[in-house]
Amino acid sequence: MQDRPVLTASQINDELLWPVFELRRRHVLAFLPPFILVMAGAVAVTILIWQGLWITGLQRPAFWGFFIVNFVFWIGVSHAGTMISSILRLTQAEWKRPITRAAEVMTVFALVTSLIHPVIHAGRPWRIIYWLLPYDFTRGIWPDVRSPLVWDPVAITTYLTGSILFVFTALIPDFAIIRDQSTGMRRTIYGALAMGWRGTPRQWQLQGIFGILMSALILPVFVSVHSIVSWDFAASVVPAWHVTVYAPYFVIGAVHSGVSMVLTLMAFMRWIFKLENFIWEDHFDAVGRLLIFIATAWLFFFFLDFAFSFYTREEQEIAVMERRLLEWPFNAITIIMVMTSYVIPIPLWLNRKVRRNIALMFWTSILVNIGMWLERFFLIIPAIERKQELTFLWANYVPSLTESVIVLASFGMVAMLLIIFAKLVPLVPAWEQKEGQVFRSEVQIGEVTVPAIVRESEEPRAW
Amino acid sequence: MTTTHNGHEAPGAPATQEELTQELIHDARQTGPRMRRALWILALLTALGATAAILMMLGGLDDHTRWKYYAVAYFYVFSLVMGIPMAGIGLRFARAQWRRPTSRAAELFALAGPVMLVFFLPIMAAHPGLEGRNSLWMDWRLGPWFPDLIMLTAFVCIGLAFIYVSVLPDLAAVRDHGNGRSRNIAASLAYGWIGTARQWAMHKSALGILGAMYISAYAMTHTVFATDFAMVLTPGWKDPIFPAFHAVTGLQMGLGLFIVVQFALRKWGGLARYFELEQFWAYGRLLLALTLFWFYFFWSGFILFWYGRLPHEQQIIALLAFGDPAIDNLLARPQLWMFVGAIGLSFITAFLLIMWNPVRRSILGPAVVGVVIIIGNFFDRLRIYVNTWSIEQVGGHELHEIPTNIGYPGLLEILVFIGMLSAVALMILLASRVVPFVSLWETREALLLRVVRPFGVGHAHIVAKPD
Repeated sequence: MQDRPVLTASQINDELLWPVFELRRRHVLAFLPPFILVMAGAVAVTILIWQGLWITGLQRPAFWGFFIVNFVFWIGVSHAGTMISSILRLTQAEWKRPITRAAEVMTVFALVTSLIHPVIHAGRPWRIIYWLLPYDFTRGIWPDVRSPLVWDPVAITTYLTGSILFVFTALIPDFAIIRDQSTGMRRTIYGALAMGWRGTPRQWQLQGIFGILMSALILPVFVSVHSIVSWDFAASVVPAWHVTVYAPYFVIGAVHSGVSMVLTLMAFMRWIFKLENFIWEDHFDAVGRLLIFIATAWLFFFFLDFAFSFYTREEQEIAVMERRLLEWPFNAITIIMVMTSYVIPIPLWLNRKVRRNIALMFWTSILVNIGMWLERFFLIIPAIERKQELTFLWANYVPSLTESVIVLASFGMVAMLLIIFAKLVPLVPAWEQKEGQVFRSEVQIGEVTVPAIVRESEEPRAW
Repeated sequence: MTTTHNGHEAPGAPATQEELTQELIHDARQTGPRMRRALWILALLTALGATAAILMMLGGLDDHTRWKYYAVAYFYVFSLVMGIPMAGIGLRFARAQWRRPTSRAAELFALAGPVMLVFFLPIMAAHPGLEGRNSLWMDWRLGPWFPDLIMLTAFVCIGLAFIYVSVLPDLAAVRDHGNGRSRNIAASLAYGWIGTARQWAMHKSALGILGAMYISAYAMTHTVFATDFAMVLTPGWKDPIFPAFHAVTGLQMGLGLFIVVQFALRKWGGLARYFELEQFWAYGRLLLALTLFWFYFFWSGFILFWYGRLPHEQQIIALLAFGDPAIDNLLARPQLWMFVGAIGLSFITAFLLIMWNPVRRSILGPAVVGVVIIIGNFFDRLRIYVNTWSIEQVGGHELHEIPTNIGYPGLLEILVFIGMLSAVALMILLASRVVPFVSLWETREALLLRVVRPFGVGHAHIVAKPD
């Protein structure tokens, strides 16, 4: 892992900063497909607002459909940034260096994308304000603060604020590098963003302390956000939703999809921005090993949720499980979900050669995210379709074309925002790479030279 | 002695691999009169515990409510000791270099498995069965006895296989460098280990596979135990997070005990140079994370029951936390006091202490928090198993009556509890007469992988990463 290519500071600047200073064809080509998707999504949203929610597949009692599934999915993906950055920063994992920024930025963009969904889902977006703010003092109408639907925006905006701070602080040294290499308006803008960064020891110390503090503070927020999202469902008394395991199950599922998305992103970054000197097979190997653990933890919670659905043998829960396991299309969805989330990728990832094969890692990470999107669908839709006790109140939700386009557009939106971001700031932190070069070392063991790293430590060890 | 920049004197490092071998193979395994006396006392207490368990069985298995304190003792000791090997296994997977001198002490706790298996037999026999109850095993006639026994046996066997593979290189070292009876035992167990490249490669793979199997078996055994020996006995209790809570709290109290054991080995075991501030600091961080998990898993279940206001779930809250609301006098609600003890010590006190870096970054701090957590989780297992094993009602969707007269443990139950703990300690101390508490092969490897070199204006540790 520490066997990195030796690069000088100027080589690092050249290789990481070119997207900021040049516009190459590959950048434009990468931008176009997501842009087209976003435009299609914008058209679909306009039609939806113009026509109303009747053009969706939502009907009583299934008033939560694709938008809510997608909202939960993107909230989940947003967990990757915190997972990668905070935990790996706190554990001083050396392999975090090239992937932290992309993961953190993805957190922000995934959160923004997810927040759009409840707004669209409201049908008349301007009315969403009624959920959150008191709007009629004279009649004493207040938002229900006891409702998880109010907890959501509070948790998510807190997480978004924290994540933006997290990203911004880590960006300051790179803003300064761009400032120092720019002229004119660009220099002015990046100079303002760099906030007087000169790289003094005190500035580095403050930046380091802030990074560690934010890492520690944002972890509880990250866990609470998806727990609260899970309570949107679990706090109700809907059969198959009112399940105590939902909070950690949602969190671990979120981490599974988020870290897989980071893997996808790493492969993309390597291909589009030619980052072979920074993102190596070792990084895919390390993320792959992490994913084996995460996926297995996810499977454990999936098992608990699944097994306890049958525990009390209540009729409504059995009806939901019958829908999930035996009825089309949910039976196919269940099989695809389990296969793509665990059965296919894990045996592959157990093989070191596969973990170091970037193309295979890319495709397996895509598979995981297909599976994890379907998992949200699997958890949310059958339960709401069968939430009523009387069978004549049951309904089957069939998503409309408009909803499907908006879902696809959300993927385009995150990709497009990332590509725009990459035009403004390097997706791999230049200062972290330079730091990594400083900490690079070697140890001679017998006749073999082994790559090594410098570890900060105050106490000499006796062993 | 070397002196750091802050004036702290650190013990001098064994300069060579040979000195390390001498210290761990010869000096650390000597059995003095004090150790001999301790072994005899532990053996006596173990025998008393086993006798008490037999006497309890002779007293009858029909009424499961008689076994409530046995259940507390068993599941407390099980949770306490069987999670400790995970500290070695998990950190080896994470490739944490600092864990090297501590792995062996953690993994030796896998030897508690046979003790747990033997003491499981009475509580298994006392289980009232599944007829009329909700269960994961549906209407299977052999559930829960057969599957739970199979699960525990598999768990114990995996643990034993793991510890055997882990100590294999050290057994060979004792065979080659040791003397006396332990040398003969080690020679017969070392199974021709000479440390060829092929043997090391197989050793590494075996540790990985068995480690992964141990983690899986740990999670599954806690799942079936928590379900079959607590939830099943309580009408209206459906709580899929409870098995995960049971497993996580097991890890927390296990780590708490392990830190205390390290403290003892450092203070009285002559191993201060191996259990240093770095280890206590790092384990303190893990303890903080697990303490937060204690609350998270508890809260994830509690908030849904509390928020949902469903009558059968309110009864579960009363059973496991607040006591019978019909009783006005809070002092007369035993459940409330058990709950306060559990959350007060396992989470609130532990968190308020371990959250501070100066506490974590000390030898005494994590050890004190470890003791607090061990006591707190005793209250936790008390609230879970005393209350659920006191319920006489069978079937129904809701618990009708919160048990109030939960009584006190008798002499036999106390002897069983002490006997179980003594048996675990005896197994580990006996094993430590053959292999050292500090893994020789891992520590020798660490000597190769770590060097101190000038860095900037001072010195720094350089850690080689061959993987």
